[in-house]
Amino acid sequence: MNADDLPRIAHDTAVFEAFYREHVEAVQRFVVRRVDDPHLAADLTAEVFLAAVDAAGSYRSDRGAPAAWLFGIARIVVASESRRSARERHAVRRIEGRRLLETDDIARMQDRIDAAARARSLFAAVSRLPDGERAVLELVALDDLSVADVAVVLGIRPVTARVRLHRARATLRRQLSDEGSPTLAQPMEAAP
Amino acid sequence: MTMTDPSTQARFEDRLLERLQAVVAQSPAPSPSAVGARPAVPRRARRLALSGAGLATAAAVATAVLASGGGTSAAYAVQSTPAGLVTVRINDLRDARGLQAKLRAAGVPAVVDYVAHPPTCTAGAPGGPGAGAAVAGATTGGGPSTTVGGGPERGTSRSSAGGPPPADAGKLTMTTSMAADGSATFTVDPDSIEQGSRVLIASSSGTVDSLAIAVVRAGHDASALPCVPPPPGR
Repeated sequence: MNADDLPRIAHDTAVFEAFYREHVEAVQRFVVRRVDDPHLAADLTAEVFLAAVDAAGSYRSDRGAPAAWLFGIARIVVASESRRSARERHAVRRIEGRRLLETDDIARMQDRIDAAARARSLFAAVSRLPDGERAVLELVALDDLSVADVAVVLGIRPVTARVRLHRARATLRRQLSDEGSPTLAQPMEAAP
Repeated sequence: MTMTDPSTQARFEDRLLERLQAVVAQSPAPSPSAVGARPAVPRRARRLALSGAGLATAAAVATAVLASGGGTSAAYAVQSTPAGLVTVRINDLRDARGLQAKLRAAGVPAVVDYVAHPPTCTAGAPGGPGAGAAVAGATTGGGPSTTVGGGPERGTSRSSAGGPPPADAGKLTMTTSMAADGSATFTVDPDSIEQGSRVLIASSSGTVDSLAIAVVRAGHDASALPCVPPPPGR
């Protein structure tokens, strides 16, 4: 699909279908890197495309490829979901993706979820960092700021920023290696 | 990644496609004159932006979400007024670091992030302590992580279509407006920003119409910018 056609996904079913088929697998993989429940993943996949239809008119091809734009939407959708209260979760969705799942679909979604386990642990590990450490890590790693700039941004001393960054990295390294180790460690421990 | 025989694909995906196409089919096509023009979308876009504003202002006293679009050649312009205010006009989400540097040079402790999604919006384990803390202050009010400049009695939040900045600049933290050409403009009084606070400018979806601006007080998580807007239909 031509990127300039993207706004038409909002009202042209053929254009929408081309767009959907091109991206549905990537969206599902994106979602399961963040959630591990097949039913919720199905709901969120539906939500992402609904949100894309709603936002299609604001797409500008000179600002990025459709896939990047769609991932931006997916992030918002998934993040919003994590902030919903239990009551909100029961609110009616426009399309309940989970109702469209059948047994085989659940198995396939579960395959995706299993394949994304490591990515989910990385996200989870970052989210468990203390606020101050996470802020430093994100500004350095995602926003590409220097440690000195981060200190200015956060109103902390440069040495504090450096220490937090060091701690955050160490924590992540430890958590991720802990999570990766059981499959390796258990057989060795079990050996006589 | 999925160990799936392609021939067995197309179940959930096809059913979902069918449902989505029903939604698309119900959307009226834009009138020919509106095709390609900026206002072709706005009804929904505005709803997104407004619901975002509600979210953000829940905790962010001086947060404003701009609804606009389009763009012109210069990505941004920063001006200091004789009264000591700093006016920023954003036409296009390019050169975040350049704008950040300019704002800081003008006395505004800015953090500009045009990445299409605040990093802390990422869902970790839902309800997990970290995930909640990252956005709690800006959204649910359940946590103290983000507080915004001044307090209810000090901050103002505006989102208007091209109107002039309000006159109550004495208490003003910032104002925003949307120009007819789709650029977003906001005015900040650097003196109204507490020592150590940061002014965050971020986009939730990578377009000018999703810009969010907030003041975050010293010591709070600068990356916990309002995660707006939520998907529509809620």
